[in-house]
Amino acid sequence: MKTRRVRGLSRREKRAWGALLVVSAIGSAAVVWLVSHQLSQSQELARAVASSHQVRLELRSLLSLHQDLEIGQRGFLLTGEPAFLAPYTDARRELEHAFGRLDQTVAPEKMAKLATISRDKLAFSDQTLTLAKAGQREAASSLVANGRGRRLMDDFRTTIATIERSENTLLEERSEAAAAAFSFTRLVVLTVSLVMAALLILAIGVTARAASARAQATARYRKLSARQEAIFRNAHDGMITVNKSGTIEGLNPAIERMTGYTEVELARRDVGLILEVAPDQGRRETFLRRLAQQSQEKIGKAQELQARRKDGSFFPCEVTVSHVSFGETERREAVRGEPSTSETYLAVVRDITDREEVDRMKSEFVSTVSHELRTPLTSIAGSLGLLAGGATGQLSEQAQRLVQIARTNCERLVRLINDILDMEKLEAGSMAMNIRPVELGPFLEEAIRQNHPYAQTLSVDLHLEPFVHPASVYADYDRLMQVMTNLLSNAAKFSPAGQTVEVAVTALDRRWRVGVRDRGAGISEDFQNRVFGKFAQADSADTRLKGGTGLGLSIVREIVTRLGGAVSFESPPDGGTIFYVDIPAAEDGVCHLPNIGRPRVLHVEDDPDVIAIVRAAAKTSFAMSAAHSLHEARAALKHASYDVVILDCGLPDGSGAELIPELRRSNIGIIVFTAQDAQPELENMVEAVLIKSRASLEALVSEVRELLEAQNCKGRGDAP
Amino acid sequence: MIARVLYVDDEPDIREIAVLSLQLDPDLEAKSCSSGVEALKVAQEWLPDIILLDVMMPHMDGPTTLARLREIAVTRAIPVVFVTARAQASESKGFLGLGAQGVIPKPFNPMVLAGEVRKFLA
Repeated sequence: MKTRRVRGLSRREKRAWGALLVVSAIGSAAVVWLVSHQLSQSQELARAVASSHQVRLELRSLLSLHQDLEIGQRGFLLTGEPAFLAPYTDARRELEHAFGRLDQTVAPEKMAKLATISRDKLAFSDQTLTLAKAGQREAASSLVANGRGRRLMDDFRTTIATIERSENTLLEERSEAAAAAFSFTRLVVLTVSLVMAALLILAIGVTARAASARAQATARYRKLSARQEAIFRNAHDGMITVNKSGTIEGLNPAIERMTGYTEVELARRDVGLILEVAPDQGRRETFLRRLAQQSQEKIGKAQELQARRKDGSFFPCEVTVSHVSFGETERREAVRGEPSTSETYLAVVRDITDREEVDRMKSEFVSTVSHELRTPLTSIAGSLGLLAGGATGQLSEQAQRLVQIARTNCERLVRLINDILDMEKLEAGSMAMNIRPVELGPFLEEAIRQNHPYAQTLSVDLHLEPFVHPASVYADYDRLMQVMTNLLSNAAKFSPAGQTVEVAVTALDRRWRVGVRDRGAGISEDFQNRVFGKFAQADSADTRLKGGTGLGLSIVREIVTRLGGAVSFESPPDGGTIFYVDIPAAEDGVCHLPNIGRPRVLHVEDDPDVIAIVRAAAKTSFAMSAAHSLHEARAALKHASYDVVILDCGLPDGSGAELIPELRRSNIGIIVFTAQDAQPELENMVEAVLIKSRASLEALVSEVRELLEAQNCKGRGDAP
Repeated sequence: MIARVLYVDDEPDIREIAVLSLQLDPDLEAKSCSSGVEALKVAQEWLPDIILLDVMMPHMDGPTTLARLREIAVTRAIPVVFVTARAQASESKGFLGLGAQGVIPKPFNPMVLAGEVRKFLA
């Protein structure tokens, strides 16, 4: 047996890992977005910072150009040297480019003011230089001295300082925003990381716990598996697991011990190799195929079979088959509509050699004890019978009474012994049944006639209700009479004097029901479920008062069950009890036989004694049925299948030989067993011809056996 | 005509009762013996009209005794009825296959035993 491994994640683990996955995905997306956002912000800030620096540099450069203008102007005004005009000229050329660069980065309103001041300054400087170049240096100096140039220069400086401050403020704002964004990003990344770390820890924790639980479960499974394996391997009974087609899938050492085969030799072989499942069918059908045909009715019920050892010898065993359900796997397959691949059966095989021996010894013991009891009883009953009958002279009234008491109890003892013997035989299945059609009308009249004297001693009348004839049942006449005797004597015993026991027949579906109604006190509720039990009497005092054995109804039930019928009872509201016996109806004189698993032999013979002795000689080897005429034989063959027919030629309605052509067509083996010298051509038409006066019963039984074996061999040979 | 009845049983009490029962009928002459071997001897000498044979007897049981009687010319035709505690009447048919004329189950009714024997003689 293999330990089932626990595979996959538990639901809790899946939840933890799923949450981690979702949070990781969302967190990662957020972090990526934030970081990329932060990067773009940083780049923008860097560009802004670079732009601010550029603006400041350009502003300084602009201021420097204006200072160069101022220096050139003043040097030329003071010296009149044209060389001093070089910086002025250079600065003036550069100014346009410098303003052009600043226009792209600084707000236009600020640049407009600066450009206006610059233009005014240039105009003023140009005006002074023009005067100086024209020789009016004094006019130029006085123009300079009025301070307009200085004021313009101061305004220019102030405006540049204002722009620089404004740029610094903007730069600070951007830096602060960038710092805040960076802090937020850092916070988010930290939070997401922490959450992810927490979830990772949680998932690892859950997984670790699940792994630990799994390890524990696996350990438990292993322990359980080892335990089951030990039970399986050490079981005294053999166990075989087989699939639906009967192939052996596994077995325990007990099977190896019982059969002498090893596990390897039996693995994947048909179960028919070791279990003689259907010997009467030439082993063409496997055990489980037969089970399937029997609508699973054998599942869970012990069956007695023959098991085969490796050396070819057989031993009796009791086999109980149970269906092994693998639950979830089969359910899933059923949901998917797939055929179940895991259908397995467990066959528990018990060697019952000892039990059969015990049964045989028990049977022998019961038989011997009954003989040993009957022998002294014969002397006692005989002596009392002779005394009571006056064989030794007339007894006094008191002596007669005492002898009568002794005789009554002696008879009761004999009945008890007979009932115990019957019960033992019924339970052992060794009571022979001569099943044949029984016409209920004359049968019940005879039953009432036989039991009338006893009922009269109790002042009870027996009455058969009129019913529609014919009503024929399929039964053993003597055994059915035993059933009726038990029911009628019971009914008489439990009815008050002066009352009438009524027997009525009604038709059921394919059965006839015989009801026997007493006029007693009915059956108490607490006794109703024990009515058919052994030694069952409602009141133990009944045994003594009524002189019964307590086995009568138990025997009735056993016999009726073996006849394929059923017993029941009811207590009508108007008093008394009705016992019902339902017996299979014989249609056209014969009815269907239950499948009993043994070879079927039909004995067509008009002499009941011959039928009885052949049946006795056959013992329980075959299921013997009898037909007393050609008509009965044809009806029997129509309603049931037989393996062999034993045929008498001299029948009341013709010669048995007339049946031969139709038997040949059905491939039924034929043995002629007749008192007449058979016609020579018959010998070529049948398997064997035996003359009653010359052949022994053993020879007849042996012929039947050989014929069945030949049929089996043929069946095996024909089998696919 | 008086008919001779030989009763064979190993139980002396039963033999005595059986003989007494049979003698209730003045037309029957009864004799008993205690074993199969003795029965073979008495049957050949006395030539009874019918033999009542117990089934279970030591040394030689009823069926064996019957088979031996059938082998002896003078006893071959003597009808034999088994008297047995081994089987009930309804199951006694198997004994008929052994060649017996009938079976009387034990315990028998001593007051009607002679009548039953008469039926077989008829």
